[in-house]
Amino acid sequence: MSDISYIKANSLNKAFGGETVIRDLSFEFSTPGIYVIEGDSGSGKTTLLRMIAGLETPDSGSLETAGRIGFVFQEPRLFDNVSLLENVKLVSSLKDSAAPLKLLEELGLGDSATKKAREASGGMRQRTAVARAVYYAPDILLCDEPFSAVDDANMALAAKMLERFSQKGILVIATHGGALPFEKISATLRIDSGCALRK
Amino acid sequence: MKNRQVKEIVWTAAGIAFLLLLWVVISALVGNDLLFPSPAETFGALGRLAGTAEFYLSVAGSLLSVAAGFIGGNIIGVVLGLASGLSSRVNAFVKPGMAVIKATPVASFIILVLIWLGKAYTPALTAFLIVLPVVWQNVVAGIRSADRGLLEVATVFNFSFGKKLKYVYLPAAAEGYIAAVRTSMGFAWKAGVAAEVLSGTARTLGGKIYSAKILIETPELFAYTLVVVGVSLLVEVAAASIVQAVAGRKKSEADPANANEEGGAAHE
Repeated sequence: MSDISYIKANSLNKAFGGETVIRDLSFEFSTPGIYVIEGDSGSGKTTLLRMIAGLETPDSGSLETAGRIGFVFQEPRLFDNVSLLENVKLVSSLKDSAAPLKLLEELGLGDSATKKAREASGGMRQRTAVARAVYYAPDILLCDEPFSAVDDANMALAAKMLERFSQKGILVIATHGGALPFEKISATLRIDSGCALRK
Repeated sequence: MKNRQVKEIVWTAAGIAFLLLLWVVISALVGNDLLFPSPAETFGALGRLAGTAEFYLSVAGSLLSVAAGFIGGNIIGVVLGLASGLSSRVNAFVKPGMAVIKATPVASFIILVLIWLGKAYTPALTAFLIVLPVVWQNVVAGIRSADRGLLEVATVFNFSFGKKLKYVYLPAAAEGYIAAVRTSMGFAWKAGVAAEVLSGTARTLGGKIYSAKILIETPELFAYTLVVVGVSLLVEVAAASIVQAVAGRKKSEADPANANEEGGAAHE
């Protein structure tokens, strides 16, 4: 992890085909912790995360990031032809590390690690996506609705792992609302139609 | 065996019987084995030919030269297909060549290759040119249909080009490639034999057909043609079996019935 990591957004704007998705949005996340981006479906949460990850470019405004960025997409996006373990290992060039299996075990997937991703359930896939992103050792971890397909028991396991990450890195969680299984949240950015309502 | 499969077999057998009957009737009406030999005369000739080493050498010769062209077309087609699918510049550069190859009549190729390189290379090169554009086109289409979501994963997690190729592009290209193999295998065989006929290549099925025509040995000509048809069917059945085995494996892997040991976990 790098010593300094941050996300700084200033007057961000983004539109798709004439429809504004993000409007004049400014915020700064610069210390380790859990940052929640809350908003209804279509409010621009996913677009914001994608811009932070460099997958979309803002139309105007500035967006600066420092540090390595990992992403847990809303759909797990695993490589179906390989095992869950292989999916985790893939994001690092380290060989023979025991860490990927350890992460999967921590998420209750130790017995299923060798199962092909295409054979895994939605919840298993989502938890694997979390393990994959954590194994990447990012400084900033973006999670788009990471608990949408996970039951309560497994949500607690994933939350514990993410919470541990947030002690040293910036964890950004996009959610449409509802209680999140974290003890302490550093800040919540509520957005509606791409505008910040409150911080 | 399912009832539908039994019915299909019965109808196929009836179709073959009808063709044989038609053959018997036409040969009886023509009444001249030199013009239109009967099935008995043809199978007699086939039996005689099958007793000679020359016959097997001819079958092997044809299979080898067509296989060489087929494999070459596959290798170059896959390489160019990958490059074209990944780079619009390469695609723009390769596309006109492929369009020319696709639009040129097979007979023109055969005659031109015959003039330029001689008869030894004509069948293999003809098979190569038949296979190349089909494989290229399907691989390009496969690469372009690569999952955008997985490409984003590869971008976010900084995959090397090799990793991207192995885990995103090659699986995407595989399906189109299998379809190309299935389609082009039969074409390559028929075009290869046609090239042998036109070039009169020695120790090949096409070469034997050509000799039979020159010597007006019509029963032998029919017999060799039957062998070409038989090998073509075998090649197509082999290709279909490979495709079915691959597709079947994929289907069973994707079958949710044997998907996960956690049972209800699918909707956690």
